[in-house]
Amino acid sequence: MTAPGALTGRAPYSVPPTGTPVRVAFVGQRTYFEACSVHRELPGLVPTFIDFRGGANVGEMLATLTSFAPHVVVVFRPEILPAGIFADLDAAVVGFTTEPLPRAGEPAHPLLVSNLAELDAADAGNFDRVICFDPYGWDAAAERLPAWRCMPLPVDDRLFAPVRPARQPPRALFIGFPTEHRQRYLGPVQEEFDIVHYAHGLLGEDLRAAMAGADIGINLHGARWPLSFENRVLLHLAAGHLLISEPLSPSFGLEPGLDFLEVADADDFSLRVHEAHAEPEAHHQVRVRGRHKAEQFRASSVWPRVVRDLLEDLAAFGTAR
Amino acid sequence: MNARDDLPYPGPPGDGPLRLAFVGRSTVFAPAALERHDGAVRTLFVDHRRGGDPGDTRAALDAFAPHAVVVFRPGAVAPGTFAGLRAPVLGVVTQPADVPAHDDADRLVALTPCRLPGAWRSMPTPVADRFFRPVRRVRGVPRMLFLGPPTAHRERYLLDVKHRFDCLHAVFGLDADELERVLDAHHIAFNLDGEPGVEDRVPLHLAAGQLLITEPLAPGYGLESGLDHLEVSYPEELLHAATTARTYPDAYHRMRVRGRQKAERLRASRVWPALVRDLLLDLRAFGTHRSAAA
Repeated sequence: MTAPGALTGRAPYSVPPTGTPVRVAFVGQRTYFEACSVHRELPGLVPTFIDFRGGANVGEMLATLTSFAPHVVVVFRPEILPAGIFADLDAAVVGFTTEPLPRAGEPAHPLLVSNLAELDAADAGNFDRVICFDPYGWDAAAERLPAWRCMPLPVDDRLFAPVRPARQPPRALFIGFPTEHRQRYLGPVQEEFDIVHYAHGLLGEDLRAAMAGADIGINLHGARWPLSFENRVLLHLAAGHLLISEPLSPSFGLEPGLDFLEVADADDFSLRVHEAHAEPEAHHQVRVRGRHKAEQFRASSVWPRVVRDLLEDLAAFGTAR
Repeated sequence: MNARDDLPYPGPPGDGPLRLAFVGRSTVFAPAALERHDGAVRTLFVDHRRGGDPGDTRAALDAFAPHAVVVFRPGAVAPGTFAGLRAPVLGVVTQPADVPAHDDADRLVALTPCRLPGAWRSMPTPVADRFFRPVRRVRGVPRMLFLGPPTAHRERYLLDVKHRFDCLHAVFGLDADELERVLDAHHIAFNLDGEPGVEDRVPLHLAAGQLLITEPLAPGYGLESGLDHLEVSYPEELLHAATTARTYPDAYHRMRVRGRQKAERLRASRVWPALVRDLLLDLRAFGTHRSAAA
């Protein structure tokens, strides 16, 4: 990939000379977002991941960033950055909102309102463009930040695995904090089956090992409403798991019954888990379809194109930063 | 009971191995059981969970013909499952709801934090030998771990640690291999309950050579705060201890060594044979109420 800014000569930031790679820094809490980033050099793209979370030492983060001298910075959760922190940074900065926001024309859920309140802390002046994970929250995001496009969080290439024959019995995995809603689904089933459950902090080699050790991935929303599209959805599909999930909104092209098993309530969930244990191979083709769909979100496919488009967009339309 | 001098069940042969069966949910209790297959002891773990088929469990036991059976959470096994079984049954109770029907166990052991009136004895949870590790120096940044379901109390303590340090929080369902891997990859472990007791994770973390940061333990079972583990009493103290341990991992190396030494007393290969031997002696001396006895 070559930096296209040179084509127009109107790029607002330094771009690498033609034929040299773009340096891309991913900034965010490693716990959640390392699994969404590029981890190795690609043709035309040199990545790094900088662990940074709200309240952490800004000076260390800036020093690391400066030494890397990125052309593009991707910031997961724009609200974690202090106002004005990137005022002197000669690089394109794209934020990525990762939490669902209130939907235009729908009643506001307290959780969504809370997410919006956190997003209010984001300084629009830190960003050239912002990617919204949730298209239904576009209006809310665009009122505050330079919203640019919507897409789900991509999946680190290291988490992709071929669909293997399921173990006998299969191993099911849930990654997420227990809530009353989730325990209503999981609790009765855990009496019978050993569903592996991690609440927090599963990352790096631990995450890869946990994914490799499972055949079934479970996605349950934090509450019955609002619906969402948690990033674990794509992690499980990429790992070749049979995904059992509550309805997804947005769906990002995933089709219930084809790419994953959709469950309407706790009884339905229990039925599907029982089925999957009784006949582990019955849904093999669903796993293959789901794994196939996940390819659309492979980090090494997504990020180079997004970065290229970002630079072209900035060259064409400039920035308010 | 009056003292007697005969064992009410067929005992182990003088020249053969003791066959010892464990019954319980493997993901929960296998880390506390003994796994041994030699001329002195042969063990079998029968996975049985609440609502499981008692016929399968009984068939597995009958095929093994144990000289003693240890049943974890005996209340989760259907009444009568051990009827007619010609072997002493030791019920291991972790909560009052686990108490079995009168005829389903010869003796009851209460694993703390359960306090069980009439229990034969009370003790902390043993640790399977496979989880014991030498204390190794920490290379790089120490990693933190909490095992157990979240509660409001636990989250109040762990919130800041999770936010700052990526503490791995495993809730449920790890099998022995996964548990070993997780223990191997982490150096600092927390124990939080908000009530007196020594949960099974306490000896487990000490056996794995981890630095244990815990709320006060009661009873202490000989563990000494500040010598073999770090004691904290409120969330800010836990954050401070975790931060210090993360920043200066070697500062607590000797504490980990001390904790690891203490854990030896709970090594499964040391605890279970001694306990079963004492069970047989106790039955020989005082008999049993079980109708399956001779």
